[in-house]
Amino acid sequence: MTTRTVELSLATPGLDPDGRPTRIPLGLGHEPDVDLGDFGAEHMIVNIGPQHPATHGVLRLVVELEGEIVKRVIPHIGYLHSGFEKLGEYRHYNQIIPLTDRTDYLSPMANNVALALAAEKLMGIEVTPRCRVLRVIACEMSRIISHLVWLGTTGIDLGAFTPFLWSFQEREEIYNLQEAWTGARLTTSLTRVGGMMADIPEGWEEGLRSFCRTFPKTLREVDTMFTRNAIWIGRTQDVGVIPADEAINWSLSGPMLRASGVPYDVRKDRPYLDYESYDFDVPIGEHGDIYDRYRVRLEEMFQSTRILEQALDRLEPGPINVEDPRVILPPKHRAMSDMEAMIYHFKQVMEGVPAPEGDAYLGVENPKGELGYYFVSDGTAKPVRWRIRPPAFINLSILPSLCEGVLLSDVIAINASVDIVMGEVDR
Amino acid sequence: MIADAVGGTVEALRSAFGDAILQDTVSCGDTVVFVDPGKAHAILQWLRDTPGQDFNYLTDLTAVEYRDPERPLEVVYQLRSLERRVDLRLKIQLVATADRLSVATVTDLWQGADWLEREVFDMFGIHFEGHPDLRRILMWETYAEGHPLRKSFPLRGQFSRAEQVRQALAANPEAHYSMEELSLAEALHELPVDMQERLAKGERGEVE
Amino acid sequence: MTPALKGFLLLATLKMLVVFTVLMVGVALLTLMERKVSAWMQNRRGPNRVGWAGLLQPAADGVKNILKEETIPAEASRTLFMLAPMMAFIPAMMLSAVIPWAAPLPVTFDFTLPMLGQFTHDGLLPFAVADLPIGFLFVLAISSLGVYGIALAGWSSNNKYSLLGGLRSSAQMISYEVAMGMSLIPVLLLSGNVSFGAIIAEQQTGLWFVLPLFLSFFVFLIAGLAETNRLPFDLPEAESELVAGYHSEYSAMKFSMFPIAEYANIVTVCAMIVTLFFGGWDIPFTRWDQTGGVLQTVLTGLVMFLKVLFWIFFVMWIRWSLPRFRYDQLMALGWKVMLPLALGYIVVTTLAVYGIEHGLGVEGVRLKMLLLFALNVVLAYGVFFGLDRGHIVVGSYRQDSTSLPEAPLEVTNP
Repeated sequence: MTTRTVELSLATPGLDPDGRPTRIPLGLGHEPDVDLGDFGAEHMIVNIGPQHPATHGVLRLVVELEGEIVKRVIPHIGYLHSGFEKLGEYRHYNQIIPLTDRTDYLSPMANNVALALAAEKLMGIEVTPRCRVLRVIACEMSRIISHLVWLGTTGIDLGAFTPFLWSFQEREEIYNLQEAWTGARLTTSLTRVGGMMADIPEGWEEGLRSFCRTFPKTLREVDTMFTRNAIWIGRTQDVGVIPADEAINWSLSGPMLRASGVPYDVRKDRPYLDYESYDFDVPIGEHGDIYDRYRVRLEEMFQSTRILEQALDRLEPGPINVEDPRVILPPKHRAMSDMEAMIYHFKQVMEGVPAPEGDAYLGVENPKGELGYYFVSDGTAKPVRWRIRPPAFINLSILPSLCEGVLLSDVIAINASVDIVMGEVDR
Repeated sequence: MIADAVGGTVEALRSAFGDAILQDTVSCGDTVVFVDPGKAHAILQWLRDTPGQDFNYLTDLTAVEYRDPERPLEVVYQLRSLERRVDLRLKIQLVATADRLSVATVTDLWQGADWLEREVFDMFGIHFEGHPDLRRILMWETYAEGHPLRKSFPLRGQFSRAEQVRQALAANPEAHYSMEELSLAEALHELPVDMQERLAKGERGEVE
Repeated sequence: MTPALKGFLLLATLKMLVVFTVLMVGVALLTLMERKVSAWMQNRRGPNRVGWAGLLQPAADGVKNILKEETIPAEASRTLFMLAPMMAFIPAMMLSAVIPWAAPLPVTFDFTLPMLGQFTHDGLLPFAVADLPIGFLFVLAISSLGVYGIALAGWSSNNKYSLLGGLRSSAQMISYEVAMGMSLIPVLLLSGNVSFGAIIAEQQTGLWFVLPLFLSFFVFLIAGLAETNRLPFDLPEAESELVAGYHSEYSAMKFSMFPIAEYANIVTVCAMIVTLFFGGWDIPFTRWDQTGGVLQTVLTGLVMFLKVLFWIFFVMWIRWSLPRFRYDQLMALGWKVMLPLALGYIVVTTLAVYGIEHGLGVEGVRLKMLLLFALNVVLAYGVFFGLDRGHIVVGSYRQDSTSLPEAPLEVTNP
């Protein structure tokens, strides 16, 4: 038996004339007759994903194992690549909004809001107060559902099944509210540049208020199940530790960054949508391990509930769209009866809303981390470049370095703690 | 916002690097600095390490190609100082028609740039010199149609749908496996004879 | 063949048929119970479409599994692949043979059948298929065989997930078997016999062994969970890591064999818990149940059933509450906590029994056991205090701190 120690030579990439990669990494680059150091110590390569219960979509991890110890993890992504950034270059700004539903599909409303904000920054539009409050509500609802999915699936990854269904039942409540508001449960397309697609329906606030009352109870139940559970603590504490300087160096954002003790929350530090006027706290971890990430996300859900209650209190009647006929479509009845409105309607639908030349980057605090939209405009109604700064993609990039030398079970736990959604990683 | 939104960084850059700072503007409130491609790495390092600048966080790294073919390609670094809560956008211009688009990697400064640079390479074909593992990330290894986010790349893809299907069908399935899996092919001569035969028959070979 | 032997054979065959049938039906119903219990815990309804309240769901599942296509991976080792489910199934069924399910029944008959001749029986009929004198040693011996099925299933599938699952399971079952065996030595010390009948009789005169031997019970319960591959010890099939572990490649009825074996093992372990520590079929606070009679047998059987059902529910309750251990934690718990605990407990119990009997000169069985119970309260307090301090499975950096953070994390409000 020859030693099959795996050596990956990271030379330059390329294809030979047959279309095969010229780099063959796991080959027997060296003859085993000399090196008998780890004779018989065969490494096993296990392919986790793209179809695997714990990869949260179509992530594929090639894991090199020595027994149960992980020597190396190579993530392969791109299975869900849809070319959203390319598609965005062929669309008006408002037409891009449906694309954002489909990137991070666990928090579509927050993506919609981020896109509208970025486009408004590019165009210099200031939205109405009611619109701002509604957008805050949308963002925080998204944060709760996204974190709930994370909580449930992480529980499953660590073997605890029951909290998954508890959290998904709460998530269902928000989806019902989302459906009542936007007509869609997943692909909300809630915002428009300069306003919202729709105001909240009558009696909707009461639904959200009752959710804010009941939701913390469920959350506390999950808290009881996990936070002081010895097995949970043993599985999460001191696993996948990211020190603060590493977290910054790897450009991590969101709960991943804050769990490592870096107090940076876009809502606090670069406020948008009047977040500075809301009273909420930002949980900061201390050790940067899975447990701290769990605690940070759990606490963020409580804080989001606080923000939601405050936002509901300050929700006052008023317009949801800016008074600018160049940006906002006129009501249908006016477009059919009023010549001027009809012209604006026609121009907007056919030509779109032109943005001034320039570029704008806007980052918002999405559940997964800092979601940034970077628009480059050449003065036309379609962006030259629409760049998504995908928090999950960047957070995921640290995975291989976290997984060296841990156990196979820890790979699953660490991967879960990163909170990825493949729609956003692959875009 | 005012021009010195980043607290005199632009002036400090100009005094430290002089001619390497080609231009600075403010776009939609964001400060943008265009720098000499050759000096970009040194400037980024200076921005990261100099006390008082502290741009220690690479928010994003991407590239932009304009519709106007005359305009140069831009590599965009979104920098942030977490302590000072300020952002700075740094741009490098590359001639779009050059044979080989290349800039120096910043993975030695920010490890987070690893996948970002791979993505830019994948989507734009810009080579990051010194990157430890520069290969495609979102498209597959053997993707032959070029770099999708280039303006010369049509929305429907470089090849016709028929050609894409033909390629997919005609492709050597092993070529689509990742390089890690190719170890099996490499080790073929070491395997038992019966397994060699089975592998030679391919995935759909006869099952006893 | 003597008429008495024929009578014995007849009764043994009947008992075998009854126990096997009841066990198989019970196992099928246990799958339904598991789904119902989990549904209650998760605010769901559980299966309720097939039959009244889903009672026919197991039958539907069984029919489905029989009709499904059987697949065998091309590269699998065919013989072992076919053999493995049976090797898991058969020991699980054999284990139930020695459990006494009810009080012995005096049976007397004498009849003659055409062709077969005369059948006689006179005396107490033990309600175990085989009332073996080696008692729980048989259980320990046969339950060890179950690991072969799982390890072979994992190996023969020629699948990496299965292989890892099989490896994990063999390591796990062997580790916990040691602790399990050791935890039963104190039972032996008190009862002076390994046969289940003697153990139950000793508990009837004294106390249920859960009181004087609480730590033994504790170790046995944990080891029993680990032996049956239930959460938090279900690493061999950890679905989030190994897809389905050792049975990833199995389909149809061959797959069903593994869950059936698992549930049969749960029944056995729970019956062992009840028999060894909760008096078996003993009805507490009465001696009437030992007098012998049809009514006594029926009622003791019912009591046994309820006790076993409670422990089965307990096992399910744990499964749907707890996360899963990691491999190294599992091994550490088995070898560094459970085994030393069981060994130390043997020493302590031996000394205590000797001290109580010879030092204090206590004669009464019940008083002796009460003294042991007092000792156990003290010991258990110490053990749980140690475990609760988080020195076992807590992540390393929190080991020194005495308590976990009660307050929310540090919050910034710049």
